Amino acid sequence: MAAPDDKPRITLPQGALELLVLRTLARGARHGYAIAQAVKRSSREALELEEGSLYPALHRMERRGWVASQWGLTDTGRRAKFYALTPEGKKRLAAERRAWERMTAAVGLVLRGRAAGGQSA
Amino acid sequence: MTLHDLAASLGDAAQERAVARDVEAELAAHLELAAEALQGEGHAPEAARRLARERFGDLDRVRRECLSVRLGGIHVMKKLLVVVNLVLLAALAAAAGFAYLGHTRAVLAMEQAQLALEQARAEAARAEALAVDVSRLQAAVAPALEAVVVEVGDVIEILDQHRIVDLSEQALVQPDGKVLLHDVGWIDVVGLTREQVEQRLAEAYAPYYQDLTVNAIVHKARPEARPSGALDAHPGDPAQAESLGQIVSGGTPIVVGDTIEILDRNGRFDLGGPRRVDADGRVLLPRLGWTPVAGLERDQLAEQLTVAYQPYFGQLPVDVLLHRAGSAAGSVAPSASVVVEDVLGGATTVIEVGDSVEVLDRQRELDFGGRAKVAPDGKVLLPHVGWIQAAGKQRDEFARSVTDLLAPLFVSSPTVDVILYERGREVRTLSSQESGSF
Repeated sequence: MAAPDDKPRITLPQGALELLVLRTLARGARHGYAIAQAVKRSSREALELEEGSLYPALHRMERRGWVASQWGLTDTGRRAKFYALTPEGKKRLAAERRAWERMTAAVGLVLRGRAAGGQSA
Repeated sequence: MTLHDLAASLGDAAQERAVARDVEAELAAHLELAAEALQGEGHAPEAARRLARERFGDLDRVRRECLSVRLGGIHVMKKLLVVVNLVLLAALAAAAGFAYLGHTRAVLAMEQAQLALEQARAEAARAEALAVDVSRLQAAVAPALEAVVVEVGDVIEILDQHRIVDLSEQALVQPDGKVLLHDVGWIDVVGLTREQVEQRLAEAYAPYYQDLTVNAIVHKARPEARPSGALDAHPGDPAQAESLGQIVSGGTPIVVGDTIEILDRNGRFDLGGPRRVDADGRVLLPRLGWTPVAGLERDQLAEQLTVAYQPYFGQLPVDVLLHRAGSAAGSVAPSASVVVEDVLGGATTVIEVGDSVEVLDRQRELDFGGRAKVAPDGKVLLPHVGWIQAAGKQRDEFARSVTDLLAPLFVSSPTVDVILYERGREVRTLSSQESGSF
């Protein structure tokens, strides 16, 4: 039996990290660690981000105006930098989400098409 | 190097140091939070710190990338400033050159300018004639357009003409003549024509979206004119208004049995769906838990919540929609045949077999999968927790039990609230007479 740590890691496709972060922030302002935990929980532990990779992505998104940051206190009284979605980020989330759904639907069509082709051959 | 160069260089260095300190503090905070969580899971402090570093990945690489992103922006700005300065210098040099070229070329330039001016005048005259034709056409169509004037009870559907921005708004015009919209809050629309509504909305949305052309469709209050098809659960939409009761205008005190919706005007935060005011005069709100609202007016509550949410979300303008089932005016009284599942009692109401409970994480991070029915053995099955005894406990006592069970499972020690629905024991129907008494 595979131990929990042995379960296969899912490699995120290009752009997926930003989509996940935007979606997580749509539920409220969070600091980086909380974002990583929220993604892990929401994906039922299937997606475990390399936590450090979040920060360059967050800073890029802040430069693009999709998120805004502010130092604040966590529930346990620690200082942390909280990120919140901006109106521009909200629009970006909607657009990215639509693009993602179109892309996955298209990939699904191709995969199903290949399977059907194999059977008929 | 001049004194100016030296000062600029020192300023740059100070700015870079500030950015580096900010990045360092953020990454350190992450590692501390992660280590704290791991200690909560039972790791020794040193092991927790080591594990937190491992899970973080390559700290040096992350630090370099962060600095590159942050300082890259500053360097780009500086390069832009250099380019702007060069362009200005070039323009000055060109102006000086033109002055030096002398009178002959200046006369030639004047003649060319005169010719261009005459051509522009001819174009303008043609455009003016065309505009007159268009305005005549509009005047002919205007009476038909002006026939649509927004009234209370109409539904305004709002679309971006170019379908780039997802406005997806369908809002009911309330008794005070206003509609509640994301980003912009309450907008007065009653008595306006469709074009005037579009103009007003374009002005309201201007600070949020550049070059947005707003289209508005006015669906008249007559049932056959209402938009068909499923509407999103947007505040103020007619389908929701019908299920929740008549929307009540500002100035009316909230009473037990009303349903309120709390909305972030900027649409950034999910403040939960519609919630019924319980028998204690309180309503369950994200982050705040059970909050007393009975007796307050709609806009008073909005002001209080804006203050209450400040520690969580910063400056968050909040709007409130107030629904009343079978209003005292009796304008929209649900039919007695419509079964309305009632929110039961208050904090001390005892849960019984057959009731349903809805467990909600106050931070809205954990999903408990909606309502769960209390089984004949008095237990209820909840995600994360499993079977837990519910019957015989008071509502808030049960909430504390669930909170206690969750504490060792989650780093963030979530707090839950519970809404109790009595289904098996008593199913109430709302009527205009009954609604005022509970």
